[in-house]
Amino acid sequence: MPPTINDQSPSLAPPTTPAPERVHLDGGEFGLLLPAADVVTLLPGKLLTVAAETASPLAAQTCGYVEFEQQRYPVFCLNKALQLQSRLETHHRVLVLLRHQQQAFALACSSLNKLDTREYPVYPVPRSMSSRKQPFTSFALIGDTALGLSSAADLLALLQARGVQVRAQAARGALQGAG
Amino acid sequence: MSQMQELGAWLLPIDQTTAVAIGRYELKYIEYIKASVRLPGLPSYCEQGFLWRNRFIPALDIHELVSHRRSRVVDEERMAAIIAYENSAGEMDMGAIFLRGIPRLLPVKPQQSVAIAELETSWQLLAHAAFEDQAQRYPVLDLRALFDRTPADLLAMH
Repeated sequence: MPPTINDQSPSLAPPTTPAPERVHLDGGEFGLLLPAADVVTLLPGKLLTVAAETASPLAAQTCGYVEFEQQRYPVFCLNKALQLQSRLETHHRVLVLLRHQQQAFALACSSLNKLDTREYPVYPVPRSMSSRKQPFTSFALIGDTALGLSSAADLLALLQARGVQVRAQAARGALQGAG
Repeated sequence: MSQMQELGAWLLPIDQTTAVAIGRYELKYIEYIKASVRLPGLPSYCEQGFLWRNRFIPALDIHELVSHRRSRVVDEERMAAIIAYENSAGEMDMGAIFLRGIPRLLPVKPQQSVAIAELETSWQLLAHAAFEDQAQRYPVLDLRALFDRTPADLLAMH
């Protein structure tokens, strides 16, 4: 008798991966939960260097750049509508350097905090509240606050949807926007 | 009594002078919403939802959608009609419509129906029927069209 395949067999079940440790990025007008592993480092907002050129399309989409370990990284700032801003808000005191594979960039925020718990309710974004310009498709509810479950890869996709092409890191690590 | 004579619609006040209609069996509950939750990256008419019986219910401000003007009501307790509709996958889903007054159940006779084309343009794409009562025309909202579409898709057709 040929062997039968039981699709309920545990050996055929997809491997379960534990939920990644996440950190809470407080963007001021929005909040995200990001995998802690995506965060390279935190830098003070005062290290931002405003780009000298202001007429290019890229200048309108970045706040400038920040240097870390002799590399330059573009700094982005999002408002409540998740549109790119060319200047930091006063509450943006922290620059979070994020990395996905060979691409890295900094996102301005008010604070970045480790979550005390990995247990929180998660809901899919309903279709009537979804947009391809949201860097998440589900969100956690912590208190009365919705925090989008996002990642550096999701944020790169949002930047791309906003017309910014973040290049893979070259030898000098510069990232540029195609505008 | 025939089925035709049993038609009924709920009139939902969405601002001080405007009401829209939904089917008699589409309205499930009326709730006062004390704490709504906002998601970023959305037009204001659809950025809010709330937790209700362990479900997240997306809420629409139909007045904002149609008028393109932001409601003056911000962060106050708001009344909402919790509705049910069949989504494109054939499953029942829920949503909410913010209210400015108490809904009223209205008996509607078939001869009260009017063509959707007779509604104001802004309502024509949001309604799947319309009727007239006491010289007032009411759009009957197409709940699937409202709740089972992304805001980009809805605004593109509106």
